[in-house]
Amino acid sequence: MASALFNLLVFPGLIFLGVISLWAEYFDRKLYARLQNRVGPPWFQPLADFIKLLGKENVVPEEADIRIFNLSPVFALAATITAFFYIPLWGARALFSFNGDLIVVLYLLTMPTLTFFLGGWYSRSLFSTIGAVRSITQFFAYEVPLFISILAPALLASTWSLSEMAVFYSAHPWYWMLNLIGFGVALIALLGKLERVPFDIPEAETEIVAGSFTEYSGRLLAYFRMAIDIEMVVGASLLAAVFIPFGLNLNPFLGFVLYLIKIFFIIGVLSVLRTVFARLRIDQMIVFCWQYVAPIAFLQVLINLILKGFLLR
Amino acid sequence: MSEAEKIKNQIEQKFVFLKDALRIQREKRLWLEVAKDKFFEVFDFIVTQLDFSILNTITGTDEGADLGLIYHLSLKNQMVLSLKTRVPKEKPAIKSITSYFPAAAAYEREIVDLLGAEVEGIPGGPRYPLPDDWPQQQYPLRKDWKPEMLEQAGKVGMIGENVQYPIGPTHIISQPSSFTLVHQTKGEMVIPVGPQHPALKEPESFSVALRGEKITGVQVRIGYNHRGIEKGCEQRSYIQDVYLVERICGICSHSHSTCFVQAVEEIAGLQVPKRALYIRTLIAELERIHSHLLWLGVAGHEIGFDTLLMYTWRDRESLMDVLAMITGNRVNYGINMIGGVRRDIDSAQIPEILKVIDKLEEQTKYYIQVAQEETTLIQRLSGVGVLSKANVLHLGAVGPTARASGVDRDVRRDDPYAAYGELSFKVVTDDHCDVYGRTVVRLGELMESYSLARQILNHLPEGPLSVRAPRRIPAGEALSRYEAPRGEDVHYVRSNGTENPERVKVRAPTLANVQAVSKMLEDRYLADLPIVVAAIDPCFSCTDRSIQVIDLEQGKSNLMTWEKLRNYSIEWYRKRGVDFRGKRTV
Repeated sequence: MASALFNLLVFPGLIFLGVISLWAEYFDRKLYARLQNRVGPPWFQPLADFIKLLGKENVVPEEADIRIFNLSPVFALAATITAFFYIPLWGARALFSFNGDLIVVLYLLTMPTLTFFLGGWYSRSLFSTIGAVRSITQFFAYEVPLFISILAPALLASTWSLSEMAVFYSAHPWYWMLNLIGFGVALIALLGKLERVPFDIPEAETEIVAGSFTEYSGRLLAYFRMAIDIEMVVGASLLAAVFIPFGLNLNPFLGFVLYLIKIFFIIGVLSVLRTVFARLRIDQMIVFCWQYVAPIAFLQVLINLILKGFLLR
Repeated sequence: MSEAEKIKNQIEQKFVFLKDALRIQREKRLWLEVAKDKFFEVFDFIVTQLDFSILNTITGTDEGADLGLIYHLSLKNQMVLSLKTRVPKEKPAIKSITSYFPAAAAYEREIVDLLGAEVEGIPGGPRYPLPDDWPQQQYPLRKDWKPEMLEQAGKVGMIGENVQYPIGPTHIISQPSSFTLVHQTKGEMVIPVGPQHPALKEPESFSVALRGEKITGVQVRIGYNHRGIEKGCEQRSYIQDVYLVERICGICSHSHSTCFVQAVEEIAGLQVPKRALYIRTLIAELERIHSHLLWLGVAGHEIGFDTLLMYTWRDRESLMDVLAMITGNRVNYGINMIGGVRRDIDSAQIPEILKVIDKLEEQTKYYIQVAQEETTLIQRLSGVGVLSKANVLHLGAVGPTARASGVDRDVRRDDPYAAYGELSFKVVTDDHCDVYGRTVVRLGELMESYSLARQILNHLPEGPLSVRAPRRIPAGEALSRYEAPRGEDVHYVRSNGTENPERVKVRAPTLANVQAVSKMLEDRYLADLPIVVAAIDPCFSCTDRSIQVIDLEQGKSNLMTWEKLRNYSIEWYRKRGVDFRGKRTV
């Protein structure tokens, strides 16, 4: 019981994840700023923002559905943290695992988008409603390529468990290189999931103010932002575990450092991508995902099936 | 025979009663006054037969017992014919000319609101430029109107509170809620983009009707920025007015002050020294550069490309420093005076300016490359906000917006002012007709501006900086035009022989362009709205300029110290039952 609580609240749960994700936000913002030739924030800025938001007044619109409006951020936070427990980080074993946890993690990671939709829709404000609808529209575009691209390495490893996949790729150290196409697809889909440029359509500031989050303020907004930061870390960890699963049998300290390098590499790639692109329109985004990204993801599945037939016999 | 005389002959042949009525002030400025009963016959002839197919603006004046209306029309070669008529104040009715020029609606609304003309047949739409709760029978640009009359006219509420929609002849121009109602009954969503919205840098309002993401209708409401500058100009001397018109806009401040000063100089017959003209032109081109760089950044931001914003604004900063070095100020340069300029450029400054221009040119080449190669940028800009050449001509768009649709028109070349007649440059046009084309045109104009600035700096003529201007300007009138970064800026000035002008009329380029926005947004997506609006480079502080100066101290000293202002506000609220001081002590 005590150890479960420790896991949940301290390590690798809320506090550990919170610290890492604030750090990740700092890294992202600083890198983004340096790439734009700006100075960027000091290291404590994300924490300061978080504390400031916690202390601010919490305004709920009169017409909003109060229960869903209040619960959405908490659900987003809970779902992303839960997903983290099933991902192998620097050992080959995650904290919890069972056959099929890959699917559970993917589903848990769809929860934040659903809460963005619900929170925005039940804010009943015009901008929130449009943002909510855009969230869910975009969701259908990037989620399929993401699922397919992540299933491809699982096919190769013949398992639905992330931990067993890690064991498999540790046993066959260079096989992860076969999944690089899928890695690219997953990175693009992750941009969509995190609603970042060029896929920040649901919260496009110059069009719909802040989309789903327009009516959120204070504590609830802080939770939402925290959930997005954590989602970024969890998403990066998932990609690291699935697509670059090497060096998992090092000693814990080196393993931890390698894990950090991996996720910060992925977050860095996301930052660079958001520096160099303009925001797409929702119709362009959907066409892009279905016409280009999804077929490439299928290509990866095809490659893995063929490889499995010939090479791994 | 000059072209102006040819036109004079043609008009005199057609209308015998107009013998010697046409006054040729100079080659490109013709003035003609026609009585009201013959007015439309002459107007139709001039517009359709003589092909004066561009409406610059309409000026309304107060002529004592009558209202004067001046229709400034121009030919394709930019010869301006100002057609005047009068209507009696008791029955100031005149037909609308929106059937010829749809863009005239905004100019006609100004006359209706500010001078009380009754224009028949303006299409419906929101009120402009006065607020919805402005009391009836209060026409601020009439000479007998005093700000105190507002208090007598009854309660003037805050905007939105106690809204009295005007009834009677003006009611046609104010239909604030019908747009929302009509679209909501069709099951569409109407979202308010503005008056306060992150996409907008200034208050203006776009009500956008949406079906899904598709735009089905747009209603534009402007006028939130009125500061009463036209009325204010009439109450101040010419010298003060130079500084007042400079404050019409925070970006193209030099455009307005130059345009105004040119008009006054034409009336007074002043020969401005060459060096002064060159310095004016230099500031004008530097202003164009900083304005276009600013636009490029804003455009990037509107499509979520913040990196472009950060880069261009970083580069723009070095130019702002140059402007501060030359004029002493970043924005309101204050370099113009009637008869010349106030400050010289010394030879030590020239290499520094050239260095900045070289650096900016290199950067601009990089942005041109970005615009040609960056896929998401091109996807977001091309095919968006299409305005065909025919539409530009029909709706009267100006500046880069018009040039991006292949309309080869630029006041700098067609009606040269300042030093432009002696400089070589090409007018950049493009045939994309969309936002991408407008980007290409502005980037091209940046390159032309660098070359112009270099020409000026390398061949700055020697000589005095100004000629002495009289305090009292002789009676007369002039129309001055200026190619501002956003398009053609028009100032009409009339003097009456005193120290103060009789009438100053400003037509900023945005007012001509904003009326085309609804057309550009037809069948587009909500996501295109910010960039389409931004693509005309709107400047609403220019557009909304004239109405009330509520003279706070009833015409006494206009200078208020901070303490006086504070006490005044406390008094004002106490009279209305709110006492901040009282509340604090209790």
